[in-house]
Amino acid sequence: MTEAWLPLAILGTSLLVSPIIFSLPEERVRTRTLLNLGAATLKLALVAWLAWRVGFRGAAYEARLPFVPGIDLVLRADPLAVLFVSLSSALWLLTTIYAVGYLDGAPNRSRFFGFFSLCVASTIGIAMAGNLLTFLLFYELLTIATYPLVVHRETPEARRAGRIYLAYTLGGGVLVLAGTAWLWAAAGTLDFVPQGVLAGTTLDGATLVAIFLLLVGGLAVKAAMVPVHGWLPIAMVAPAPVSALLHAVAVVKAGAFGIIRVVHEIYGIELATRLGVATPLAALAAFTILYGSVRALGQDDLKKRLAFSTVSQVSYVVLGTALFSPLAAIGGLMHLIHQGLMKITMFMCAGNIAETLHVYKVSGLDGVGRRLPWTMGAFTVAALGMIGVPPLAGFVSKWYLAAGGLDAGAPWVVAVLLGSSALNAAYFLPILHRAWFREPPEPWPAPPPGARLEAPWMLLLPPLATGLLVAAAGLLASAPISPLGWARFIATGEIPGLPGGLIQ
Amino acid sequence: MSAGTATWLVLLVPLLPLLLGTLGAFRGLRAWLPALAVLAPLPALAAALLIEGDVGVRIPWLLLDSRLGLDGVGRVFLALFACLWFLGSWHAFFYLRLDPRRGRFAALLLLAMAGNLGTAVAQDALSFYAAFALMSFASYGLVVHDGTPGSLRAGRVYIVLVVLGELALFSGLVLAVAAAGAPFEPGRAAIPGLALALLSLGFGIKAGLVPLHVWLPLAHPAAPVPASAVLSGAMIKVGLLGALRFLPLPGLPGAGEGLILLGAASALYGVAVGVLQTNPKALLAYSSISQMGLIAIGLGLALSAPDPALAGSAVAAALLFTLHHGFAKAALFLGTALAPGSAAGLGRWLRMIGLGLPAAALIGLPLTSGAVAKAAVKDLGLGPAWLDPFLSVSSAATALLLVRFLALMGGRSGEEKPGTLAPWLASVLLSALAVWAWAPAAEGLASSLTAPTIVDSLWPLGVGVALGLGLSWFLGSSPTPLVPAGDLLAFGAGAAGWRRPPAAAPTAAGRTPRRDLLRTALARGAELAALERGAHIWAVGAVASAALAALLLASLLSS
Repeated sequence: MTEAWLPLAILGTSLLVSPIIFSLPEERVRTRTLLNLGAATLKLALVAWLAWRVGFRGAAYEARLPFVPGIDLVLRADPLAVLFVSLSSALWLLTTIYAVGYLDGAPNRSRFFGFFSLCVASTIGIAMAGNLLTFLLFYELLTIATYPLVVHRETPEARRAGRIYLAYTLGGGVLVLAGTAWLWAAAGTLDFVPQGVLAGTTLDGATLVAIFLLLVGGLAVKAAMVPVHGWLPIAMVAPAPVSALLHAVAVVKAGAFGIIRVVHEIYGIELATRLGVATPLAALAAFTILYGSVRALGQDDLKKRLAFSTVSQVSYVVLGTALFSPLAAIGGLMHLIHQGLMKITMFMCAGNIAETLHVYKVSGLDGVGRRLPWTMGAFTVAALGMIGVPPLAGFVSKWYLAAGGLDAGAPWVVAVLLGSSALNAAYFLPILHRAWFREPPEPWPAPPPGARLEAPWMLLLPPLATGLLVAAAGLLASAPISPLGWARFIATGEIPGLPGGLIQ
Repeated sequence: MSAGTATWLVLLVPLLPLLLGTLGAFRGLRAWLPALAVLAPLPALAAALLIEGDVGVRIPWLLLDSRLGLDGVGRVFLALFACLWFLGSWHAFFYLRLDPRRGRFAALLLLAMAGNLGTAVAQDALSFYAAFALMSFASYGLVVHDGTPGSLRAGRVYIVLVVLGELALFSGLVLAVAAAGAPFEPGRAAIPGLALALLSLGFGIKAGLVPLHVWLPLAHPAAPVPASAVLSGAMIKVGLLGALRFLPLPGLPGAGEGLILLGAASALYGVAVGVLQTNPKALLAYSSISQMGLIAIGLGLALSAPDPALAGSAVAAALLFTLHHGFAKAALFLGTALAPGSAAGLGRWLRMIGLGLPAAALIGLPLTSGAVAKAAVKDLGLGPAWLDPFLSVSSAATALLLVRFLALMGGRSGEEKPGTLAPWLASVLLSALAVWAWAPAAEGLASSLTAPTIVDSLWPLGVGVALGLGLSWFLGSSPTPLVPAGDLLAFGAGAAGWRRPPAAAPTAAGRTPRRDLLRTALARGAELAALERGAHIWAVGAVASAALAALLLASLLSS
């Protein structure tokens, strides 16, 4: 059964809402908020339905639009797409709530939320793209739609960051475009097919390697892999919700997701391994993991430290993709979700700390836990998860990646993960120590009279929800709708299900 | 008890303290936590005492297919842990009654309790690992609770070793699982050597085995008294529990013999450094290192035993030792909150006798749990020939250490926190009596009461007491320890000159400027010079050690 309406509706909930928001006058706060939250909730409901149908009823959804002869624009809801779509739409709802609270009273909100919706629409398109051309279209749209968000504050610093961001991502886009065109000319197909559309190809190795380098090289820019990661820490001048959703989840994940599609569904991991491109990619990912962590150690600016941590963590996904083992693939796919949950929690917490206490530096965090216990509680859960402390989400990813490394005959992966965990501990634990066990230099400003919560609920609820999900994703890893269950579904086709009874 | 009730009780063991601990997030409820913490270990106590036979429950959706349950080994540990956590949280309720941060302390105490009790009921590798991690990370808050520069430094060393241990366990488990094939169920036989080494590293750190002990003499004394009691009485025992759960018994003769040597080294080293301490809590921490060394010997015997039956007896002996040391050490640690020097008449006698009873048990006097535990190890007839005389010498060494402890405590004056006397008395009673509730211990009592055994256990006491009294007389009550707690670490760092001054924070940008390094090095130099001035006391320590060595040699020749 193929139905076209569902993918289109999911895309439409944010694509169509964007022009309406643009056209709303700045002061129509209530209408805009209602529209934003309504669209996000509707999308989440549709995605839940989609996931249910795809995961448990074996349904397939595809929307096709003729584009040029031989290539259609295809939106397809396969399990891998559902993984990314669920992540984006769940976090879009939470980040919209957060952004409404965060930008309360700030100028240019129509512009902000208009582009914000457009970004999410691009992410949905990237996730559901059924071939490389569709992917590329939304990939470029994402670049263009995020630029106004990066420069939102219109300071000289923000404009400079925006220029650098554009230079990097457009450059990467050109590479992907070149690779796509070459692939179309050489192979005559751009479709994403499980096990790889090029699996039985007769093309010569050099061409295949060159196309691979173009595609993955271009995608690596958004995935912030060394040496093309430079834009990410600079783009941290953006407002907190942008850093949270776009730079921890949507943009960097778009790059990593593209690499998954190219490695697994254009080339196939077997061909990629045979061509000798998978191992160098894994090695580059391993280097990025360690390099990002080492750089994070030296950052005193909280958001920059988190940004370098993102550089490191996103490459876990790439590492899992590039290893020839289903266990590693499961680990990488799972980390797409886990890293998103953990990192968005930390960015929103950092935003709360900045908003309520005007603290931006790690060295200024002494005693923050006393004034913002819930915020720091969520941050603590996410940070411990990043380190890989069981039973939190990050541990399950690391466990599968390490097992996959051994399975793929690459025991060095375990060493890389150990090094990364040690470095994560070295740059996150001092933050936790400062926040919980140090005295604040002077008493924190008291909350405004009458406030019952430590921060406005719109700023507090989203990180708490994601923090809870970080714990749940690890604790309930074997439950049927966990990221692990879904990643296993993608990698092995094993239908998620509950093994009879809650306790046995 | 019906199977269903037993199942729920087992689930409640880690769940109740965990849920209560997370209540600490609510500011309004935090004030109740110190009281609730006293109730939290009760399901564990009930499970350990009331459930008959083995219980197991599988929770397929939890973590990676979790299994919780209670078996013979788990029951012994659970009983010990539950009792000690009950005593610890009862003591903490009064000890920290006026502490403004008692809510935070209680929340972390509950989380550490959930982890520690969880390790006893975990029946699969990852549940055990998760509980282990919860216990280790939550305890950080107990170690640094005071917030003094000393505790912060102890906390830093502690957390570094915790992370190291976690990484070792993670990689060891992954390697074991990859080799064993069956997903996430480490088979006992087919674990590769590297995985075994990594797992042993992780558990060795927790158990404070020399040379992985450096965190222990810093962290245990730094924590508030009730936390020290559970750290030293209960939590370090998880090192042994982990080894029993993951290592193949018997089947590693080489590793077993190595462990016997390491354990022996720990046993002597702990005493040698501990006796030079002036803080009674630091002295007890070193005693824990020494006693854990003896427990490691028991494990080493089990690993290298010729057949499974003998290995089982060796494990039983190690378990007996664990119970004995856990109860006795908790009673001694809770006793460090006392001030016998300020009490008069009966009160002073009561306190000194109460401190003396668990001390006598550790030394292994007749009719104490220690005598039975040592007799159990000796009766195995396993291990190298020097083991028997070594155990006697170690008794003498322990006597020396504890006489020094009693001397230090006897002179201690100050104010006792109201309400802390009752939990301490309860811990003394438990240490004297609880072990006998375990059938193997009661059976061992008879065999430990033969004339030769009694003589065997009395002469080390005489030697140890004589040495100890002499040493105490020479050392007096100098305010600074002769060997700083943390021994190797302090000397290593001091010699290299890169130990940061205690006040400096581990900042991110964090390299200590060169000038500070110089200043630190100079300060270290001055400290070392002060040590030099105490050289005559070193001489006493050397004489004491030489006397012990001579004893060892003599008893070797005579055996």
